[in-house]
Amino acid sequence: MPALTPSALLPAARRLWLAGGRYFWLAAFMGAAIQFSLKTGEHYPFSHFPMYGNPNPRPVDYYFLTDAEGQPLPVVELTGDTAPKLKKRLNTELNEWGFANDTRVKSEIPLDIRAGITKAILDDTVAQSKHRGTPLPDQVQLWRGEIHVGEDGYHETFVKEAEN
Amino acid sequence: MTSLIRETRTYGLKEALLGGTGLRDAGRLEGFFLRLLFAIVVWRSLEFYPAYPGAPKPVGLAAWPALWEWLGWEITRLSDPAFWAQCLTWVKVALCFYVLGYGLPVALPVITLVHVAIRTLNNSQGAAHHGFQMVSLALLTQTLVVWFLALARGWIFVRKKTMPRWAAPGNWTWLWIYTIAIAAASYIISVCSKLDASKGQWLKNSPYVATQIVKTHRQNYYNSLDPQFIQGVAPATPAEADPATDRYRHPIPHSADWLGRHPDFARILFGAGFFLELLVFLAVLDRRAALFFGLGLVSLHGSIAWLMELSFPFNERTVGVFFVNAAGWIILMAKDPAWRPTRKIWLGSIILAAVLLSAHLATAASESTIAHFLDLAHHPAAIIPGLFNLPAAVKWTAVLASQTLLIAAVAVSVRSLFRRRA
Repeated sequence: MPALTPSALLPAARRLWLAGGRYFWLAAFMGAAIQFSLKTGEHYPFSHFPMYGNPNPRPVDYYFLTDAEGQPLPVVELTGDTAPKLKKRLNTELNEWGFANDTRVKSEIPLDIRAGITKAILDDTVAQSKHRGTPLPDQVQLWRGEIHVGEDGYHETFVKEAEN
Repeated sequence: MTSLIRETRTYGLKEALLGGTGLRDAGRLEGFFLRLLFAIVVWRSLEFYPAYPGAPKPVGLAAWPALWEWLGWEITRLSDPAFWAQCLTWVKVALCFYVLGYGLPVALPVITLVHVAIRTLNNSQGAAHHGFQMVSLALLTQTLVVWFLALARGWIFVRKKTMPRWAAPGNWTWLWIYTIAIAAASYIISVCSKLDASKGQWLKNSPYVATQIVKTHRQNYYNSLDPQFIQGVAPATPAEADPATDRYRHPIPHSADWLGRHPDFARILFGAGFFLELLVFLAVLDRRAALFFGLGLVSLHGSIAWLMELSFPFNERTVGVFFVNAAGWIILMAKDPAWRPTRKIWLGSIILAAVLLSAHLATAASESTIAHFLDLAHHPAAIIPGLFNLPAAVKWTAVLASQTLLIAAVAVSVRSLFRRRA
């Protein structure tokens, strides 16, 4: 068995240091990136990637556009944005109002305020469709679909949120 | 170029090109392929041009008014098609330098800045989109890596010391492994957010993700009114007529229905994805770990696309290039006999790949579960061929070749683990 002298240990320690150093810096880099992104939140290119972060039994909602008769319209073709983007825009506005007015639950936002916000989103969407040369019909409605889950499976309800 | 000529004279061209590639290192030729394929990914991601005239909810760079005031400029200028065309010309030139591996400390910031700026404008509309972040973060990380290396090389040159191997030109290890690290970090961030938002109950509550499957199918339907997202079935009428809502009532996707009725299986399925994301930091260990995690992540994205109709093509492509890294495996196999598959492995790999591909093509039109699994089995091998608009025959030949290579790479990786233990 070779003697465990400092000079014999030195090359092994050096090898360990070199290999360990590589992983130490990689771990430090990943740790810093994770910490920074979680602190920064939604500031491109950083994000805390909150999608589907809190699955729960509460109803799940989505939004879509229809004409005056309530017939669905293809959102992407006419606005350039997707149905999820409609929802995200609306949520951003509702959350902003909520934070400014100390209302953390969206369902507690007064109905007239909510109606004003949804109408503004609908108006913006209509303006955007005109800007890109694919105008929506003159009369458009914004609907919210809600998916409920229970013992008997899924069922859906619908609410007309705004119209112009 | 000087170092390539010097090494070619000293060791020969083969060694100069393949020499740096190892289990934990990326050499000159591997670096070239990584940059070439990633440049195509970056260029493809820039084809998505959101010409928003304003930034009503500024985020990131757009949220620094002092910066824009100082520049005398506005990020919304990118919505001018003529200016955007100019930006793309700069990016094209910078990407050429990037692929060739010259002037990276200048070329990479140009690419990064344009990529981050256009997606920042897109995300400044009050609706965050997470499909391009990984490409931007990879570019940002690569910029930091090449700046660090440029500083280190400058310092070593000034001090007139011998260039150590880690800083030598032709060593692309750091560009490769730090890109893997930032991609891995973004998956771990998602796990941290899940644990935080659900107060540690994500796995327990994961069966409720099935409700989100219904939602994403509905959203996809209203995006385009494509009946495939409502199983091609007209809205169902409930027992009690409700004219206000009947026209919006659609069938529940089979997968959501099944997962909703089998919560324990849903926990296992979603839990597998959760732990894959949590442990992905191990991908930086070496090429084998990167391959295994890369195949897992690409399959995870493929499964999400199948279940939720929600795809992240640029995440998949980034993972495909840097984690799976088929080009790196070919080079390692060509260079080092220890990593070369035996004839038996090659034969087994090509037979398995051919059987899988035949079964996949035979069931391509089917909506059955087995057909989806066969599609999923080709997902990792189809990523790189999918970057090019190839004719079907060429594409499937390339997929067959990629699949054979990946099966052989997995086989030699597993073999190496057992060899080491012995």
